[in-house]
Amino acid sequence: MVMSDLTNKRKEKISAFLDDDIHPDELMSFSLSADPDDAKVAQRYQIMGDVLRGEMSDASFIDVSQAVREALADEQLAIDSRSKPVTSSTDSKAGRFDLSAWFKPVAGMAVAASVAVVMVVTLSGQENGTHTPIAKNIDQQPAVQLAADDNQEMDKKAAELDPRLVNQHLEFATQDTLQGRLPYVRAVSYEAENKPVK
Amino acid sequence: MLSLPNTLVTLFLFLLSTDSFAADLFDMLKRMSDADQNQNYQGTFILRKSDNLSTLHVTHGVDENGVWESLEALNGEQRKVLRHNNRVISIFPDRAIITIRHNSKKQSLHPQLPENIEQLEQFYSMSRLEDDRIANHMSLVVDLLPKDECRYGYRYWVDKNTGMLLRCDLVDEDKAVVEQMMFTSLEYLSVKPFQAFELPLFEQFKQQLLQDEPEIDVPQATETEWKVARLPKGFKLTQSTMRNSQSSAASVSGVSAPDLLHMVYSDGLASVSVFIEENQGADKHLQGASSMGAVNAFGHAVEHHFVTVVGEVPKKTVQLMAQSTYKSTQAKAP
Repeated sequence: MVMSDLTNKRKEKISAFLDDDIHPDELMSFSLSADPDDAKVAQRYQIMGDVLRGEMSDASFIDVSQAVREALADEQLAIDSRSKPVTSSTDSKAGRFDLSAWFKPVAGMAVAASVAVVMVVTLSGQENGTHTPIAKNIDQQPAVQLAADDNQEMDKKAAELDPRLVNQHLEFATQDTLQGRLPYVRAVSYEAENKPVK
Repeated sequence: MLSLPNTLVTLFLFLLSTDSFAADLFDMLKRMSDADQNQNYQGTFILRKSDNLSTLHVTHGVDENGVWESLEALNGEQRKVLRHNNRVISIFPDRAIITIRHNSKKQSLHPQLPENIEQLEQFYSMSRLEDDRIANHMSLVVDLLPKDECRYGYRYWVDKNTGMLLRCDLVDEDKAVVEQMMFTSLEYLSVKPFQAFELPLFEQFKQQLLQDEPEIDVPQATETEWKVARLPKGFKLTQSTMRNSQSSAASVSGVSAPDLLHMVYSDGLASVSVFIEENQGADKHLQGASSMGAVNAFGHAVEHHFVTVVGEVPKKTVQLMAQSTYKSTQAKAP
């Protein structure tokens, strides 16, 4: 129990360190006392934080599934051991991971699914055009419907941005900048995409 | 080994050459910005916004009445946009609709902003890359890389002879291109090509007047009432205007008072709009983030008001600005 408390305190320190919230006076002692397990915890927290902030790249996605698994296991969530992915971490890193086991209806699934939804929505919401394989992969899983619904919600949210605000920004705000004709092209292409109703 | 005087002379020449180099690049950027107003040309260019790729044909002319331009989309639904100075006419032949927009473009509060090369250099590292050929025109290539993560980087390809911007890439902090414009063909013309601006062809189309709304200068008190606490370095207020919000424009048949405060901040390259209006409820405004190519937006409620920040800057910048906008008579928003 004492050990557990110490571990949790240590985790809190690591979390604070990653969030830049650690007090400067504690920073040196914290750094000096770091051990290899701290690095693993820090890496997992970093990845989880990136996911939640929407700063993940596709290349990190495989690591995310690993991080989610380890984080959940680490936090002693009641996940049935039968639900663990059958693939090894080596396989995961090779890109042949199978998320299906994660979405089986077992205790703790709600937590896993919510993290997965965040991942899917976050990754799908980004627009760099390299996310299709991920969406396709997750599309095969039961949790996809959840993710897709949430994604639609995000699209709906995006659609709620008043096009007039974008128009006003593009037409009035960018014209004095040193961008040549680009702002104007941007404005007319946006206007053309937002077609008038008949 | 260099003597002290020689070292000083070398240092002086280095500083001189560095200043001259930056000034030359800046002159080139200004020339690029002006070139579009002074050239007759036609050509085809591609516009890539994230995954979305468009091809457009442009015809551009200048005469004693101002600037004329025709932009025609070559893929997707047929659409054409004609512009004469501030009047923009969008034509949708498949739907027999034209929309007309007349912008009473306001003067910037800081029209000299682009001349502040020192300011620009504080936030962007400027360098010239190897010359390149775009659409069969030799071009200078200039990189403007941001010194922080609050703005995008720019790479310009500029025609060595005319100053025309032939290609532009906007890159994010990961060096990924978030927006790209590039000419694939370009022909300079000696006179304005009149045939491209034949409006009578579309006079039987249904017309929609999209925007002819009042806009007024913001009273000094209002202008200073709203602040952005966490403004990225180098961004200055360049415009401040009251406009009609969508809700008021839609709900009242008569004339309504402008109720949307529009403040524009710019560092000379990037610009960000901060819109502030009455909070109509959670389902009436963008809640959180939205992205359209290089343009990001973030909506955030501030008590009875709603703040929407839109700009061609990274997502984190619009979020930071939206969440730190506050009314100066109130306590600062977190």
